[in-house]
Amino acid sequence: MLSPIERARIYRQTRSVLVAHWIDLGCLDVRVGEIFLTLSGQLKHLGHQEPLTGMGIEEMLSELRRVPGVHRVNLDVENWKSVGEGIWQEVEVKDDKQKYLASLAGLPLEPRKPAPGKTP
Amino acid sequence: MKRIIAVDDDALILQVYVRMLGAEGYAVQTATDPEKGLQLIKAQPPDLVILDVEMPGMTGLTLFEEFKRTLREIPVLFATGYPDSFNKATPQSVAIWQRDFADGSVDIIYKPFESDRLLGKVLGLIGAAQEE
Repeated sequence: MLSPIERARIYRQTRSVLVAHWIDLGCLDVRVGEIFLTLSGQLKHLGHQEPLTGMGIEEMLSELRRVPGVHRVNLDVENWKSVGEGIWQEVEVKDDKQKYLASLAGLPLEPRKPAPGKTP
Repeated sequence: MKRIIAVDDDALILQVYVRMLGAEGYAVQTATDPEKGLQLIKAQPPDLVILDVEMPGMTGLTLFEEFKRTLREIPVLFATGYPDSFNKATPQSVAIWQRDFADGSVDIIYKPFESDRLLGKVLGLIGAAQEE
């Protein structure tokens, strides 16, 4: 079982790798588990950098796998999906602000289901 | 118990920190005035500082540079409603990114945030409230 100190070191080194790759930390969540290092949320470069590429993601993942204590990296982000071994494809998503504004305005993010007994 | 100092000119968001993080066992002190926040941090350095980036009088980036000169080891979570704070390159933001973010002790969260994201970031920076 990972000790709190070991877990903290992995978090810290993970953030260092992400920062070196100019990853926008504000929309990314990092979780350190016994087996997996999981990245979720959205994965993108800071705005003043060139857009992230699939090759850039692979380089970053390769560095994360070399962090001592990291056995596997699980990239489970909204805006990229794996379409093959080491191949990543960008997926369009609504950003957090859009989601928030939509929720404030009472706008449904998903199409509403018709009420029981009513046809759409 | 781990101590957190949160500095934000929005009193409402400070209440959110107190409730969310207090429920997890962290002791949270707050300041709406950056100067007062700086005094609190220097008087009794906490385990974590949560800093709004855009504040009247003194920006979070300047406050950060002020206390980091002497209190280098304190982890910091920047909280901002303006993602451009780091997405637009200024000499100050790029310097902080390359010098301070690079060692892994600084993180960012965008407002509005979900409680899970806030707790995840705090746990990642300083661990659970009762951990040594």
